[in-house]
Amino acid sequence: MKDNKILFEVENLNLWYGASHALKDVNLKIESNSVTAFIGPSGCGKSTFLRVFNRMNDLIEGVKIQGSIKLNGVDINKDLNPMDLRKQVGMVFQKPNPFPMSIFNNVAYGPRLYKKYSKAEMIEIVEKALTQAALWDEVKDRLDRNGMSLSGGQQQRLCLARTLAVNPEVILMDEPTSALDPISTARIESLITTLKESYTIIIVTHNMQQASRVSDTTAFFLIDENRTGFLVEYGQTNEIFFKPRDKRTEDYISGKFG
Amino acid sequence: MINRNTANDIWIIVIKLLSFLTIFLLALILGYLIFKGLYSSKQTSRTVLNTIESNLDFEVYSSKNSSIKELDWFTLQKMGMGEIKNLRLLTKENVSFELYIEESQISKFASYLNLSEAQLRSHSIKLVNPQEITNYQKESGKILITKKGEKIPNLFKKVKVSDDVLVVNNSVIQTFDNKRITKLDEKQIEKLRNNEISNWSQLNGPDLNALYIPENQINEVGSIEGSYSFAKAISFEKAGNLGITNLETLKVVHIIKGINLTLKYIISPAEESGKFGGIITIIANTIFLVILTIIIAGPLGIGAAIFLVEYAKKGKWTQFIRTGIDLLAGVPSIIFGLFGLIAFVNFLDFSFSLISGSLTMSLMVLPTIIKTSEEALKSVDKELISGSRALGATKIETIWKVVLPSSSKGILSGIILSIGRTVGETAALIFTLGSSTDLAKNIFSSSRSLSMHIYLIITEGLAINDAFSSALLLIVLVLIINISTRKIMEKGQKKNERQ
Repeated sequence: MKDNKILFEVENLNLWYGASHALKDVNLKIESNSVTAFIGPSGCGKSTFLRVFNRMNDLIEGVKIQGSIKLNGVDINKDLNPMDLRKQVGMVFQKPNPFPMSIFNNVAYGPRLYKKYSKAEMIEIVEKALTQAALWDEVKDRLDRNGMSLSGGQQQRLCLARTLAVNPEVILMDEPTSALDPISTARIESLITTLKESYTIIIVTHNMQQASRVSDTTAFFLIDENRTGFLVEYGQTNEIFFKPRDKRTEDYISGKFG
Repeated sequence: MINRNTANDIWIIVIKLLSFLTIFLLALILGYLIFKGLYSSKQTSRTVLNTIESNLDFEVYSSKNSSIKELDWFTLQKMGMGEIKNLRLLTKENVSFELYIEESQISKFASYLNLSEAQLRSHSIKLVNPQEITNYQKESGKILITKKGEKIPNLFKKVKVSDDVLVVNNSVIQTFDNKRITKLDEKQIEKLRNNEISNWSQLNGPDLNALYIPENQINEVGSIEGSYSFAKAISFEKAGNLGITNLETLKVVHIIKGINLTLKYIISPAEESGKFGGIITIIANTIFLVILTIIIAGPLGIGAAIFLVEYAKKGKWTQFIRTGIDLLAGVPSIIFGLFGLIAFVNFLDFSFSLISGSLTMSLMVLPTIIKTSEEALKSVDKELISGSRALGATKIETIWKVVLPSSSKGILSGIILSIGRTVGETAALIFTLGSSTDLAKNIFSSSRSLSMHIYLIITEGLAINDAFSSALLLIVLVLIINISTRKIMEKGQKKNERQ
């Protein structure tokens, strides 16, 4: 492990949807400037766990959390305002969800929530974000066109630009390429590798090859007989894939179930 | 067994027929309303017939901007006697006029009207001389009697004078078999003139021989049963003055065809409770009513919908509220009228006013706005909301910046429905809005809306033609409101999509 600082510290995290125990006793640490992948079979709670990091589960009724998650030492549930948290921890969703506005306004949406910018400042921010998302060249001449008029892959990069515009520390990605074609997928994956230098990325994916391609660390989740998700193994990606410690991990990697 | 394909074809034909029928009926109704609204045919009966040839030895002019085209002898006589000083009985204009006579024509005019010169002069008839006439610059409200063939400035137009009457012996209009004739139509008059009628029974009259008497023997008409004469009105009057009894006139049915809805009518204010003048004040009041209602019910309804969709916890209470809203939507409008009467007019002491009417209408349209807004809000993609929240927006920010703009079309359709309902409502407004035809000065003024106007015209028994022209206007108004609201919203959408 490189000597990076610990960004997130998760201790004994448990989550309930009403009476149903969805996540049990999760413990892990996320380093900054790394890409972490959450893998596991469908329904094992990895997306739920991802949403814990930016408290998007709060939007769902009847969700209860126990345990702690600390971002840079600050408990995100007890000591941090969700809006402030989400400024630092952004999210890209599985299905691209651009707002029905112009491309420009899509990207400008986030920053405008926090501060009033002059037109020149805003243009600069938008250009920077779209460039980082490798979309600038394709849309720079049609920034006032509706965001929904773009292709699927472009829309997802627009959503990425939108997230980048608020300058977060962390980018959460919930199966970001599962709705895209292979070429768009490859572009996003190469973006992840580039962005890692400036951001910390956590990606949920059901595609094991993707996980092995882009991530530094991998967390493998399973669901137990009570339909509760739990963390099986967590470590360096190449170890998980080539020298897993747990037999269940090995079975999953080799495709015995999934 | 009918083959499935044939059954399919039959059903398609049936569906097409039904839809054509519906469209046809709609077009029929609209077409009829447009026709009646634009073109009126008013039936009156009048004593004078249309003059075949004029043998006046003077000329009559009226100010160009009045709508008088013709005058009959009796009216002219009353004008000369000073009994009529306002045009309103002749036209819909509430315009007073002055009678101006050239000095040289006074005696001719007096003898034509069977009046004495002294009578004419004593009724403050204005005398005028020809030079003055040519110097008139602006003109209105004048009836001019001038020398024949004189050059009159373009500010005046010639008026035709009708002075023929059909004089009959009173035996002709007697009651027989529980009926009697008092008027004839143009065709029947024509037949009489052409000597085609030998017996009054041919014209639905009594069984009497129709005997023609020439005008110079008009006095005979008084003594011969079934006799008639086409004479000048003055002859009729003179005969009467001589004491000849049993002389009557048969009226002629006069159909005034004309344009019903004129531009002038639309833009003039209503005067004297709608009897005269135009309709712009009523249109304006209707628009005020709509605006006020939407200002009250719009934010309330949309806010309630936002609460129900985004904030209310699913449970018994929300179900209760929803049921209440549905119930309210089904309440008959007259009950809202009664409620408005008690609550706003009396209890809150707003009296019959715009505000009472708007508050009542707001209650009526609130369920519609809430329901359509709710549907529109619910149909917003949840992913968009997630996306906004994930960027750090609060719930309110998300609603304001993403949810409302996305659901604006649905919300707008609810608003348009409410506008239509407001404009068309009569029962609830009768008890709350008032009935004044003047322009409302503030929200506490009494006023009436366009549909109330139609209702009141018909119940007060005034011209049905006005009802039709008002109805046409109403349809046009609703159309304009719909189109402009849609255009405004589309512009807002486009603006949203740009910078």
